[in-house]
Amino acid sequence: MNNAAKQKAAAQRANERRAQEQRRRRNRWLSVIALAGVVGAGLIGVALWEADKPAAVAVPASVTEDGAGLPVGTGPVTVEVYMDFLCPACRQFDQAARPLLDEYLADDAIELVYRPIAILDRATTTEFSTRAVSAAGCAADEGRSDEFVAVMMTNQPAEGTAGLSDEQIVQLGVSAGLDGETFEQCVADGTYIDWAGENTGAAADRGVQGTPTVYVDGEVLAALSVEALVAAIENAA
Amino acid sequence: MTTVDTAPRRATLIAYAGTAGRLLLGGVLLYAGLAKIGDPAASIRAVKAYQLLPSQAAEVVGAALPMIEIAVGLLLLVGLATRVAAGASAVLLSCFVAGVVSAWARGLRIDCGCFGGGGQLGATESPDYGTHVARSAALLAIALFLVFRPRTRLSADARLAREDGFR
Repeated sequence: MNNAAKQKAAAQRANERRAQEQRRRRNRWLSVIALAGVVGAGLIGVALWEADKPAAVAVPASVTEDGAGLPVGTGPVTVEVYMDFLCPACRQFDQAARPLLDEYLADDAIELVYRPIAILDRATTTEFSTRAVSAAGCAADEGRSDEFVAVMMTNQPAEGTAGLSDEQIVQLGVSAGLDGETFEQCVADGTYIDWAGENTGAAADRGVQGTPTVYVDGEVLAALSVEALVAAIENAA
Repeated sequence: MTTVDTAPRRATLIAYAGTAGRLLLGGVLLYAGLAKIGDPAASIRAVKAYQLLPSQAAEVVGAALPMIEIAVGLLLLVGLATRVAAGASAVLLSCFVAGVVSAWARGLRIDCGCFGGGGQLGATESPDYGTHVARSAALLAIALFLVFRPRTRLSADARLAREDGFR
């Protein structure tokens, strides 16, 4: 090999090395940018969520201390019922347990706390669950949560439908003894829509894994039967 | 006697297997992200349902996760920065596996929330942790494969390399 050929080969090698170094640097930058993009996407998600958060949440007039429960009665044993107005098991529980709970309430033996949450918004086309919780807040303003829950459970719409319209909810509320004008305004304004969201998040914080979930004096009721409920209340009393 | 060099053919096979894995992993992540993005409140509840993080942290994770899944999914589908994207998926999937196994071990009755939903099971549903763990573990294996063999066919990475005259 003559000298010229050697020089040429050396130059080529140098060129290749340079190109390789360039590629490596480019790939490193690409990795950094991609990683930044992934992190940035996450931050955008958080920012959108924060921006969407309500500044101040309106809370109904008569609520429990934590602001998320609608109390009925003043007895010593607390019975908390987490429920979604669209959940069929909640209706079944309400109808099975209501006569019994009414008796305990009449004896002033329990404080019944409804904790309406909205986990089934996707099961209707109109986010019925959230609207129903908001309406329950409106009913609580007039001190008629219990009557409202009863009539809503009796007239529960099916999953996979549009649910009940606001007008239908107002009609049911009026039939439960609510003041037509006040209640209608409150429902139409969606006064407690944000409250519904807050309650649902708080329930998840407490570890509520579905509806209905019943607590008797802070203890979860493992079996959802009237017998188990009676046993738990008698135990706590 | 002739010798057949099988190495190039093997490399091609691996590159195409990588492409298939990349598209599968990217597709699943993109789908999972899109399924959650419309309802961040539910996504947050799903994170809270695992009862592993304090409330505030669960909110951040639940709000960020759908967007992160979409971003990583898109990178994988396009084949851009494959090693980084595969590494990120491996981290995500490891967390998912750990979360589901821990929920399983603690006897929680929750929905994994993998593809939307708020983590609550319906009254008639029962958790299916085994399937979830198996699926996540399989995807984790694909992600790890791509971390070690990030060069795949039909990828933006390969295209960029070709423009450099590098094959």
